[in-house]
Amino acid sequence: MLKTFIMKKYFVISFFTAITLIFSFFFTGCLKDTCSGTYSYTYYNPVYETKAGVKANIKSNTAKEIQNPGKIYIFGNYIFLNEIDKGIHIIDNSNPSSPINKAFINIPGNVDIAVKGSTLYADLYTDLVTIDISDPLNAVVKKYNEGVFPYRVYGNGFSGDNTKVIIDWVKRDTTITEDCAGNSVQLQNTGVLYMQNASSGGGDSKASVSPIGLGGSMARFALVNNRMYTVSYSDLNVFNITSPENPVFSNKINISSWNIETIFPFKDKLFIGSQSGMFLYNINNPDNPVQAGQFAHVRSCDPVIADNNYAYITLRAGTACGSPFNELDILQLNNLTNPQLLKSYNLTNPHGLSKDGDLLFICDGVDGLKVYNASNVMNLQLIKQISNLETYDVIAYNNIALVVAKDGLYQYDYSNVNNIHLLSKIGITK
Amino acid sequence: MKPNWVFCCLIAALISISVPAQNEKIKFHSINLVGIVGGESEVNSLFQTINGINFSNWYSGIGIGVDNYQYKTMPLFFDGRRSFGEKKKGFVYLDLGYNFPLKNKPGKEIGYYNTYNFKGGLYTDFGIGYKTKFIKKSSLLFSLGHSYKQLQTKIGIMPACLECQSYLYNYKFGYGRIILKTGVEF
Repeated sequence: MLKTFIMKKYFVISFFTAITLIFSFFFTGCLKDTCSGTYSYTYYNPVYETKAGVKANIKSNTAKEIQNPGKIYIFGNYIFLNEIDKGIHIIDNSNPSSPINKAFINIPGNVDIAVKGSTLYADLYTDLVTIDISDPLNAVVKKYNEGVFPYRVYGNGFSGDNTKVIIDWVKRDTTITEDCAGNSVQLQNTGVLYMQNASSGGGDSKASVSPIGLGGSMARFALVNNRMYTVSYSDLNVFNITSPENPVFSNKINISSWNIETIFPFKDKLFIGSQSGMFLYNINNPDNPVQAGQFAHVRSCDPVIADNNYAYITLRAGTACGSPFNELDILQLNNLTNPQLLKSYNLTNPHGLSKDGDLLFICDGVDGLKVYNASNVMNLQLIKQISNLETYDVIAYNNIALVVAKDGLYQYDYSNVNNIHLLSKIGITK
Repeated sequence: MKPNWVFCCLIAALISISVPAQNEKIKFHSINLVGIVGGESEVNSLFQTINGINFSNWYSGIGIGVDNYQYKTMPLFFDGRRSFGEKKKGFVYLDLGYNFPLKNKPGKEIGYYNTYNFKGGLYTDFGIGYKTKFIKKSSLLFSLGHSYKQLQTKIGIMPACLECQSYLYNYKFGYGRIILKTGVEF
């Protein structure tokens, strides 16, 4: 019996040893952790054109539908409306009740414009292009200043063909699956641009410019007498435009801040909005702007306008700028070297603004257009709110408010403040 | 909640079939196991309870457990066994079911996230074992097998920027492991 018991014990031990060895041999290969990650994203394939081809096409071409409106300028009876990264719509506004989209100037990479007399200035990615618009329907290029806007670059690791110009992007939505065992899923740079915001081919957020050879509150170009001032990232550039069709680069000033958003001329000063505040520059010497004051903000995107006594600044939250505030700040300008905050008004999602006399127009994003009586800045009175449109920028001039909204370009007659009404709309095509 | 509802129905079915378990040929058995599960990433513990009926050389039941490998999960499965050998001491088994996620957070597959959601997947386990008499009518079990479990997670990243796009990642995990169990059958 003892012998039988011992044999059984050895049998059991041998049995499990054999089983363990068999398992180890056959199933080691099956000891595997797998992980696959799937995600969807949008990518853009660049469409290239030669520089010669691009330059040959910078002229008044057939009118195009408005799809992605950006900055805006009014000059005479014409509206010049930027199509972000594509060019400029030329709209005949002789009759504001019936504006006519007349022509389109192809300028790849364009997001900024300024007009002086019959000369239009526009950026073409990193270059400045000067165009004669004495006959807007027959625009003619007069000059290129190359490399004056060096910060127009693409993010997300995209690197394109620098010998050519990107004139368009072909959008694709795709889903990829990758092995992620032990690693986070990474996008692969294959010469395409992976985008977060479909409207910003160059990383700029939507912006719009305002009038009369005046830049609006969202401008990065500003014209003062015979100088054009441009801002980019952390620099203020000066161009001598005494000869309008021959802008000559004059000076570059480092603003010792970063993420410069806007520039607005006021008398002999420039108001420059950034993510760290508003800077005031004295341009008594037009080629050598000197900082004259500063108003510190929390981080925000800061469109600025000014009248004789006050500066009006909108702060917007929920953007890449990072500020939590949505408000209008009004500053006293009696001491320009140290402007004082007088009052803040809460808003919803403010963008551009404009002022004509005592009327203050504010684009409050999804809250539409708000028109205030600003005769007493300590007690702004809301006269009218035009809802059901998402507004970005406004130019109020000569009783016509030109509003750039998400779905088109609106014109409102405010000659009678008790009866502000819509004159016309040019829709956009998505 | 679906899993609890399914589980309750299975328990009810087991109770209903336990009546004929009083018959000599069909008997109700409960198998309760602890074990270790080892794979490519780690070695961790698991616990199972299987309740079913024994008929001749066959056993079938419903099992539920806690599996701590990588992510904590709760497998719910059908268990089938066949005894062999002298006095039916050897057995082979096969488990097939669904792996429910328990409380987990995303791991190293992504740096940061705003939302996450886990979903279960397939659960399998098969192997071979040996049982020997224990106290009174109970038996002591040892088994060695291979187990596989699946899990999915959806992770959302919402940048603190209203104008920025959110991202959604879907991850699918599969874990093949060796599983060593011991326990009591009564």
